[in-house]
Amino acid sequence: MARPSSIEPRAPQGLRPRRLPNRLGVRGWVHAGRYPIERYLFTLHRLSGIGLVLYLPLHVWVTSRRLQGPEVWERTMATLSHPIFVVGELLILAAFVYHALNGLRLILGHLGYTLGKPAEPVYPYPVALRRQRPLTVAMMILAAAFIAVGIWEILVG
Amino acid sequence: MRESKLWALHLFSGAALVVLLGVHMVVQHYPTILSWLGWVEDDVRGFASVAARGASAGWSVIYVLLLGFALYHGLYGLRRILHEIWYSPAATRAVDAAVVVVGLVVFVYGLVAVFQAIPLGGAS
Amino acid sequence: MARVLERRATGERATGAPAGAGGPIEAGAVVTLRVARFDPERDVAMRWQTYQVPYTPGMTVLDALIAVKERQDGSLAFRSSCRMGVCGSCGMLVNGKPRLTCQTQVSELGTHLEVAPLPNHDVIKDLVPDLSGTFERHRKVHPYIIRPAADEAEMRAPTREFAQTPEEMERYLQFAYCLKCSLCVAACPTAATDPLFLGPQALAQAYRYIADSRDAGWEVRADAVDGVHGVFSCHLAGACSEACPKGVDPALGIQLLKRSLLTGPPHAEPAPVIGPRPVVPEDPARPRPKAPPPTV
Repeated sequence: MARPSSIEPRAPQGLRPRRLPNRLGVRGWVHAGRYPIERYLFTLHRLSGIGLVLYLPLHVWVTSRRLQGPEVWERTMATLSHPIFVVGELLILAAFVYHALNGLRLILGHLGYTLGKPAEPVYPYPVALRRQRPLTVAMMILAAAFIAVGIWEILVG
Repeated sequence: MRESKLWALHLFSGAALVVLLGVHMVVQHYPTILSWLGWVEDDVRGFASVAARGASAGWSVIYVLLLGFALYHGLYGLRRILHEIWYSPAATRAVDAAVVVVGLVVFVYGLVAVFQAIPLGGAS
Repeated sequence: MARVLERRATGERATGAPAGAGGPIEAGAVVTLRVARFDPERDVAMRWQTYQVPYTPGMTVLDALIAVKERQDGSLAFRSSCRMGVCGSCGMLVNGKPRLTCQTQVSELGTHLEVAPLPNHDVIKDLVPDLSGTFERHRKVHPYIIRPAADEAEMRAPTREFAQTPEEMERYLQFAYCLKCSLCVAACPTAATDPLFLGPQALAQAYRYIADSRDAGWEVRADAVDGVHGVFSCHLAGACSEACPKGVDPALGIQLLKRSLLTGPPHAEPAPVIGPRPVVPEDPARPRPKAPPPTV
């Protein structure tokens, strides 16, 4: 009679059982689950920061083209008026505006100025980050306004 | 150097950049706001205007500060991100070294550009 | 019940749950559990298995898992102990959020549940995470009151009490409710990639002791947290505080810890022990109180 599979002899194991690594990895920076808005602003802050820091050396190089004289400079500016570079410029502007305003909120938060004091944890539990939620909302409205005006200036103005 | 000192400088440079880069961005991208402030410049990115700014002592100082703060702030942030992905001690040292080298190279290159641009203002 | 009403009022809903989830569930309804399984002796990756159990009023997610284990699949492994949100051993990822399953009502989430082991921890078996990393990191921040060397004799053989006002207690009390359930570590985006990061649990506990007026260990703990993988790897995403089942608010503790590292310890001197214990001299002239007369 065949033995049920559940009691088949198993491969010998070491003393320490095997663990399954379950770290979310870089995916965990982006995909978060059901958390408040600051959790996603963190992702966006990181993304815009990486964009800006990669842009910086490029920007230093492009602006140093002025040393080559007016002809080279005007030619460089003409190249940069191509739609691809204009879109890139808009993205950098949006990244900077967002990173700056969210960064101001973060500086105040990191130093504990907007988070209030520890409170006794009586249900419903106090969450310090919710105390600075109005600042989050104000900063995001401000960022949206600056980005909208910036887009208007670059495309229309 | 203790991490808290580096981090405090990261925060300080961030706050300084909001002001300095804010000015830089308004000058470059928000002519309407500038005109409200009573500053009218027909072509901010024309060579004459760029050369004039490059020759002025005030703008040169702003450019050097911008370059220094932006490089420090950006590379410190990048370093933190990389340390969270490559956390072995060897990788940590490699990232630290790479960040310092890249920072110094870009800073010196930018510094040379700022100082060489000063005579351009007189030429145009 | 208050908890359920509160959740309902704030509009909390389960991800991917059908419309109407979170409302009252009729008795006799069927709860569908999609459970992550991992057998270290056979599996190389997690696999999913679905069970169905009858809903009973007041059923928690842990109750549903126990029902599965008792009547359907004895091989299902999960960890639980007190069933009342005190021991912190039954933390799991339920419908996309780390929760204590013994405190999570099925009626909060609807009849479709997805239960997985806590992320950012190794899996020992099925729903059992390896919390030893959290405990090791907790030890690294010296989670106990440190007194000045002059107090060594008093600490070995205590004779008196420590002075502490209610205001002084309130500065750390919130952080002292930590269960070490590691839900905050499961929620933390930095812990998602960096296993060396001290993590919200340990860092909040570092501040809990730094903020304690009796403590003199600021420098020792500053050394422990002021490193590449220390307190400054926290980027104030705030997920830890939302995940905490006890209202400990690790994010607040960590930011106050950062400020303390820049500006110095919150108190210059640890609170002294209360002055000499009052000694009542024996007075021979005064008669000792008599024993009450025996009652019949």
